[in-house]
Amino acid sequence: MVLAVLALLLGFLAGQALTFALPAAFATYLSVAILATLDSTLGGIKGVMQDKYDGAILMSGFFINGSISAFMVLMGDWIGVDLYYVAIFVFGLRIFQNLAVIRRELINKFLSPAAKRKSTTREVS
Amino acid sequence: MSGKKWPLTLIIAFACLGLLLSLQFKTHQAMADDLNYQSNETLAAVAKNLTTKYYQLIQEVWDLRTQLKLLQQSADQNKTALEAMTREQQKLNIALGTIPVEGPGIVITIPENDQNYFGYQDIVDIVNELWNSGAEAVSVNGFRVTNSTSIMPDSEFTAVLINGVRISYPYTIKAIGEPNSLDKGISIPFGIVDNLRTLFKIPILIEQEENLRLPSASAPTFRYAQTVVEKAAE
Repeated sequence: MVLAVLALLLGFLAGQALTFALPAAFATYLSVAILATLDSTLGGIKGVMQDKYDGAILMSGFFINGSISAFMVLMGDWIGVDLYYVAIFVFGLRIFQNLAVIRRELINKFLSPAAKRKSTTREVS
Repeated sequence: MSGKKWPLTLIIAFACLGLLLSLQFKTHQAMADDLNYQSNETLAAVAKNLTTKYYQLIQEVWDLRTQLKLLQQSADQNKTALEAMTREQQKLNIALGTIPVEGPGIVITIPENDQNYFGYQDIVDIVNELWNSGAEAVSVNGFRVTNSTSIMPDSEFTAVLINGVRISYPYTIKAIGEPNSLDKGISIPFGIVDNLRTLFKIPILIEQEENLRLPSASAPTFRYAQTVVEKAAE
C-alpha cells in the first residue's frame, strides 16, 4: 500500500522532472490513455482484494488498453468520429465499477464487524 | 489490506500511472496557456480587449507627446526668460557696482604737484564729465563710484574723503567706456581738464588702456526704502 503510493509519487515527480513537455495537441490522447491505465490499475487493486490477481493481465491491460485507447481516439480524429467521448464513457464506467467493487471489499473486510456490532447494540437498546 | 502482499507489477503500474498523470498535468497547463486551444468566444474577448488597449495606448502616446511638446515650449520660454533675467541682473550689477568689471577705458592720473589747488570739486567734476562722455564704470583711487558714493572735502578742505576714507595724491581716476570718446569728452577745450591744465598748471595725465579692471563696491542695503506699490485704480 505504502509502496504503491510511493511509486505513484515517484512517477509523478519523474514526470515533473522531465524537461520536455508533450505538445498541447497530445492532451486528448493522453487523457484517454490515463483513463484506461487508471482503470487497469484499479482492476489490479480489485484483483488483489479478491485474491484473483494476475500480473500478466494487469501489465497487458495497462499498456495495451492505454495505447489502444489513445490510438482509437487518434483514428476517430482521422475518420471524423469523436471516439474520445466513447472512450471516456467506457473507461469512466469501468472505473466506477471497479471502485464500487473495491469499496465493497473494503467494507466487508473492515467495517462489517463493527457495523454488525453497532446494529446489535441498537437492537438491544 | 495489510495481510496481502501487493504484487510488483501493480507497483510498476502505479509508477507508470503517476508518470502519465504528471505528463498530462504539464500538457494541460501548456494547453491552458496556448491560444490555439482557446474557444472562439475567449479569443474574441481577448482580441477585443487587446484592440481596446491598443487604441488606449495610442491615445496615451499622443497625449504624452502633446504634454512633452508643451513642456518643451515652457522650458524654452523659461530658458529665454532666465537668459534675459541674467543679462538684466548683470547690467544692474554693473550699474550698482556690486561686481568687478573690466574692459577698455582711460586712466586719468593727477600726480602730486606744488600748485596746491586741486580739490574734491575737481574730482567730482572729472567724474561727472566722464559719466557725461559715456563712461560705464568709474573708480577713484580704487573706490568704485556708485550712486551712493560720497566725494567730500575733509573739515580743513585740505584732503579728499571718498565714502569717508581719506585719499591722497596721486589721484587715479579710471573709467571704462569707449577710450577715444572718453578721451575726447574729458579733454574738450575749455572743459575741466583743459581748464585745470592751462589755468592752474595741474599736470594731468590721460592714458587710454586696452584692459582696465575696476573693483566692486559693497552692495547697498535697503532698510527703510520700500518699493511703492501702485494701488489699482478704482
